[in-house]
Amino acid sequence: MALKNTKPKVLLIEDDPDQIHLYEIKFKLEGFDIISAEKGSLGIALAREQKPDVILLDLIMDEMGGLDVLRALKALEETRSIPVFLFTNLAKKELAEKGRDLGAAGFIIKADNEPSRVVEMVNKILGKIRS
Amino acid sequence: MIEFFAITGLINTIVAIALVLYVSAKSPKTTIYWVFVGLSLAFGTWSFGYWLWLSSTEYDQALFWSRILSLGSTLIPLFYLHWVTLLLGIAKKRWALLAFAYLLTIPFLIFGFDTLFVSGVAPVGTFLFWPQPGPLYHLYIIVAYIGFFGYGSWLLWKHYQKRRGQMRLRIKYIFSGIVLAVIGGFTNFPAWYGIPLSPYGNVVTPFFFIACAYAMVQYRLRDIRRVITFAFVHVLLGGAVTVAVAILSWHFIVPNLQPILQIGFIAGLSGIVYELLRHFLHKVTGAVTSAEIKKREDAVRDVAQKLPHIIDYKEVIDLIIDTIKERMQLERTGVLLRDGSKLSSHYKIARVSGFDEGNGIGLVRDNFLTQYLARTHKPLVKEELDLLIHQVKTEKERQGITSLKKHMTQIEAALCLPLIGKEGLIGIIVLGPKISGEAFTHEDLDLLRILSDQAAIAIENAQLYKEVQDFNQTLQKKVDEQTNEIAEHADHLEKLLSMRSEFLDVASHQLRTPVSVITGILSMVRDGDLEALDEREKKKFIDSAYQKGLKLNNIINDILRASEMDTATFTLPTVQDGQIEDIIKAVVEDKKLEAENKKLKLVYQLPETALPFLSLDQEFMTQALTNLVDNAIKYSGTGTITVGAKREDNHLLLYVKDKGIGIPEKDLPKLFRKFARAKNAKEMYTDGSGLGLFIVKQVVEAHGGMVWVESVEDEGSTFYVKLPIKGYIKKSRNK
Repeated sequence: MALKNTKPKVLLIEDDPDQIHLYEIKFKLEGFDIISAEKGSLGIALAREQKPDVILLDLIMDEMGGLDVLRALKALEETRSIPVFLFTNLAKKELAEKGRDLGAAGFIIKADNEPSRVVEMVNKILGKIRS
Repeated sequence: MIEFFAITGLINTIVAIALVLYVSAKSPKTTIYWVFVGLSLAFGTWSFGYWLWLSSTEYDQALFWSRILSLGSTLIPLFYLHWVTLLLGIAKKRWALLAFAYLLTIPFLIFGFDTLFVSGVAPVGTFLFWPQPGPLYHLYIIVAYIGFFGYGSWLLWKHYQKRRGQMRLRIKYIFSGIVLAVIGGFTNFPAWYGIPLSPYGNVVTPFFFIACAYAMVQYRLRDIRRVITFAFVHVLLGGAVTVAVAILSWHFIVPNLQPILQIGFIAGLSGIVYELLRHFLHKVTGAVTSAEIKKREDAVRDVAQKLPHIIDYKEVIDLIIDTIKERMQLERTGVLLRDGSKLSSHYKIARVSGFDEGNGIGLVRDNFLTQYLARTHKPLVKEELDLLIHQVKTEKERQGITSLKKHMTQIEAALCLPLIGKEGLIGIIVLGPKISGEAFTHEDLDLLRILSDQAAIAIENAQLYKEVQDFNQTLQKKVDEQTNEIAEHADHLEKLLSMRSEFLDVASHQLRTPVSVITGILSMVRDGDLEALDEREKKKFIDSAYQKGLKLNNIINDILRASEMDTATFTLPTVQDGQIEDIIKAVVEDKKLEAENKKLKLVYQLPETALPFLSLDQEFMTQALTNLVDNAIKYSGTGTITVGAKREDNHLLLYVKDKGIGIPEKDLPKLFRKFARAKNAKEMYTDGSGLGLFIVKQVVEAHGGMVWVESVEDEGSTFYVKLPIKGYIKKSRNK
C-alpha cells in the first residue's frame, strides 16, 4: 500500500488516441501511474483533482491549445508547482521560448525522443524535485 | 534783309512741293488727298510769288508777283475749310456751305489782277514794293481768313471736345500748326495796312501745312509734346544759325555775288554750322524731353528689375498690367493666355479689370485677330484700323482689316499687344482706351512693345517653371505610388514567405506525428518492452504502428501533390477524353469496404441519361473524387453517402452527399485552403494531411471547373463539382 503510494503519477494531455495508448503502456511498464485527458479543459480538471507529479502537455489541440492550458496551470495555486513538459511535434523555437517564459519545465519533440527517453526526462525532473 | 524774306519764299515753295510729294506717296487718292494737294499748291503759289515778288527790282514785276502771291493766299482758307470738313467726316453734311465758299472765292480770283484787289505796290518800311490793298482785299480778309479759316478752326475745336483718341491727337497737331499760322499771319498782314512790320512769320508758316499733312497721313502719331519740343528747339536753333550766317555773310563775304549764289552760299554754310551744332542740339532736346523719357525708362527698368525674380506667372501678369495701367491711365486692361498646350486654340483670361466678361473676352479662340498678331508680332490699335482701311488698295486687305476691327470690337479692345514666346503667340494683352480719351502715341506703343516683349519672356519662363514644378509633383506622386506598390509587394512576399514557413511547420508536424508513433513503438519492441504484454495487446500495438505507416504514406503523397499544384504553372499531365462514370464507379467500389466497416452505406446513384465524355486526367480526377468520398466517410457517423452525376446544359454536375457532422457556416469560406479544417472536424480526426480539399479544388480548377459545398451543421454536407463538357482545360491556372 505504501509502495503503491510512492508510484509517481504522470498526467498526459494529448488528443491523439494512438499516442495515448503508446505512452500509457510505456509509463505503466516503467512503474508510473499514468492518467490521460484528450482535451485541455479536462486535463486541467484532472490536474487539480489528482495532483500528478508531472504533466506532459501536447501543444496542438482543438478548443484549448497547450499554451493556454499551461497558462491556466501556472495560474492555479494547487497546480502551479507541478512540472509541465510541452510535448509536441511542432518544432518551433518561438514556441519553446514562449513555453519557458510561461514556466514550462521542458520542451520535448516526440519524433526526436523515443518513449524511453521521455521516461528518463520525467524521472530526471522528479529526482530533482525529490532531492 | 529783304533777300532773307525772299529766301523764305523759296524755301516755302520747296516745302509745298515736298508736301505734295509726301502725301502722294503716303495717302490714297481720295477727295481729302486732292483737297490737300490743292491746299499745298495754294501754299506753293503763295510762296513762289513771295520769292519772286521780293526779288523784283521793278514796279511792274513786283506788282505781278504780288498778285500771284495773293491768288495763293486767297485759296488757302478755302481749301483749308474743305479739308477740315473732310478730315472730320462732315463734308457731305456741309456741302451747301462748301459750295457757297467756293462760289464766294471766285470773285476774288477773278479780280485778283484788278486794282480792286491789289491796287499797286508801294514802299512800306524797308520794303520798296509792298502791295497796296484794294477795296476787295478788305472783304477778302474778312471772308477768307476770319470766315473760312476761323470757321474751319472753330469746327476743329468743337470736334476736339467731343472726339476721343486718334482724332483728338490729330486735331491737336493741326492746332499747333494753327498757332504758328496765326503768328505768321500777324506778321504778314500789318504791312498791307501801312504798319511797317516785317513778315517774320513766313519762317513758321510751313509748319502749319506740315502739321496738317502729318495729322492726315500718319495713322500712328507721335506724342505731340515731344514733337513740339523737338521741333521748337531745332527750328529755333536752325533759324538762329541761318540768320547769323546770313547776316555775317552779307556783310563780309558775299555782297557782290549773284543772288542765287548768295542763297546757295548761305544755305550751304548754314547747313555746315547746323550740322556742327547738331550734337549740342541733341543734348538740348534731350534735356528738354528727358523728364518724359526718364519716366518711360523708369517704368521699363522697374519692370526689367522685378521680372526675373518672379516665378509665378500670375505675379508677372499683375506687374505688367499694373505698370501699363499706371503709365497709360487706361479704362480697361486684361491678359489672355493660350490655354495650356501648344495645340490648344483657346485663350483663357489670366487677368482682366474693367472688361465686361459677358461680352466675350474670355471666349477668344484662334481667329483672324490672333493669326494677325502671331504673324506680324506688332501691336494692333483699333483706331488705326479705321485709317488703314482707307489706305489699303485691294478688297482682300480691306476685308482683313474689317475682320480685325470686328474681333477687336467684340472683345472691347482699343489695343491688342501680342505676347510672343519661343513658340509664337502665347497670349494677348488687351487694353481699353485711355481714360483721358487721348490716343495711343508712337511712344506709348514703343513702351508697350518693350513691356509686352519682357512680359512674354517672363510669362513663358514662369509657365516653364510651373510645368517643371507640376512635373516634379507628378514625379513625386509616381514615386509615392511606386513606393506604396513596392511596399505592398513586400507585404505580399512576406505573407507568402510566412505562408511558406507555416506550410513547412504544419507539414513537418503532420509528418512527425505518425513518425513519432512508429519509432516509439519500434523502440519499445527493440527494448523488449512488449514482453510484458499479452498477444492480443501486442498485435494491437504493432498494428497501430502499421496504420500510422500507411497514413504517413498518404500524408507524404498529399504534401507532394499539393506542393506540385501550388505553383502558377501547374497543368494536368495527361488529359484524355473519358467517362466520369468510370471514375465514380471505381472510387465507390474502392471505398465501399471502408464505409461498411463504419456501418455506412456508399451508393452510386445512376444518372437518368447517359453522361457525356469529358476531357479528363484520370489519375488526378480519381484522387479528387477519392478525397471527397474519404471526407464523407470520415465525418459521417451514420447514414448513406450518395455519389452521383448529371448533365446540366454545357456542363456536368458531380456530387458527394453525406449525412455527417456538417460544416459550421463560419468555416465554409476557408475550407478549400491548405491545412484548413472545420472546427468540428478537428475534434474527430486530426491525423490527415489537411490537404484533401485543397487538392480537390486545384484538380477541379485545372479541369476548368469549380467546386463548392452546401452544408448544415449536424445534418450533413454535399460537395458539388462542376466540369465543362466541351473540352476546355486551362493550360495554366490563374491564382
